Amino acid sequence: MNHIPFEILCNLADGKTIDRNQSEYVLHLETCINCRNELDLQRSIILTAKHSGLIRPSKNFTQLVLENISPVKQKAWYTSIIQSMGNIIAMSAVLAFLIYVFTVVGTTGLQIEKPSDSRTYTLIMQLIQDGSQKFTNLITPKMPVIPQGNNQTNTILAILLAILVLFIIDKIAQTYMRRNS
Amino acid sequence: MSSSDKEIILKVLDGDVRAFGALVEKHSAKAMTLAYKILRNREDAEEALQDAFVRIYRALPSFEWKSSFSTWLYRIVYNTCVTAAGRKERHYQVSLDRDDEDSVPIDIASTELLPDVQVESDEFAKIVQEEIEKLSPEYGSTFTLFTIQEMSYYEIVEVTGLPLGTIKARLFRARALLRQAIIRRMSVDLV
Repeated sequence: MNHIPFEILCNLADGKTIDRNQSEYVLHLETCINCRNELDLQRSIILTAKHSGLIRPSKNFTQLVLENISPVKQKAWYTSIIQSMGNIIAMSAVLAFLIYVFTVVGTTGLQIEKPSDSRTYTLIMQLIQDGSQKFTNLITPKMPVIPQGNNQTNTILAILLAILVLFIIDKIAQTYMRRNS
Repeated sequence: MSSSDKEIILKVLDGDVRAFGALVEKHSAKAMTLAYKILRNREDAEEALQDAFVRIYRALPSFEWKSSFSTWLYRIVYNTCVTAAGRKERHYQVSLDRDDEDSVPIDIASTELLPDVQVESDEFAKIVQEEIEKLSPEYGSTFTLFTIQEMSYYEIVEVTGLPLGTIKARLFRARALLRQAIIRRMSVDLV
């Protein structure tokens, strides 16, 4: 008998039932060292492949999968306000101050005590006041009409307006960041 | 299907999302090995595998308990990786779906004498692993399903959707290529 065909040897190595000639192959294997070596080689290749190292994904792989499948819980409407309260207060204070300056101080002009003995200082202050007036004139038509004569009311309105504007900006930013992530 | 898989799946279907993590932990290494064999790049394989597990989670309610869970799981992993490979390089798609039945068989001379290969040596194991790495995606993925996932020909057919003849031909060729490469390298080392 010739040597056992390679395909048959592979099947024998896998422990598969061959055909009606199986007993002939078994007999041949007892006498042919080359076919026995071939069979051993095939068994060893498969065994080594089975025990060769598995390729593992990164450590946080499972966590990443779970993050992808877990539905994002909708936060309560007040959570985002509470979380960003610090920013809102700080920014509204700055905005309120600016609005106050442009609406109240800007229209009446800066009241600064000027020293009588310095002509240069007087000149510089005059320039600043002129510039401030021009800038205020530029800005004022675009500002909401605020009743004159009550500075306290103006300030409160300015703060409320600033809080509203910042809240809207914060909401838009959060929506944008969530969409991007 | 192993009972533990079934238990986990029932928990997931009951709404326990964290239980799915156990399923991922259990199958991720073998699935990653398959993904790596197809995509030949760790990052791409991990990305595709993540996508595959998300698909598995979403499709879990529609899983029919008649078939094996692992076969179903590897079918999704295999298809996701083949699609990802096709997106990266068009020829992968063609290569992985190619029918090998008619390809020229590798000639193995039956009278060829084997060198004295020390199959239990560390060197042999190292050479086998290196040569498996060198197999092309179509041979590597089929060989991995057969050895690592320990699947039968019919299960591989179910996973890949390829004809039985193609699977047999690919396995035969993969083994023949490995044999040739191993003998060549061991012979060189023996000289």
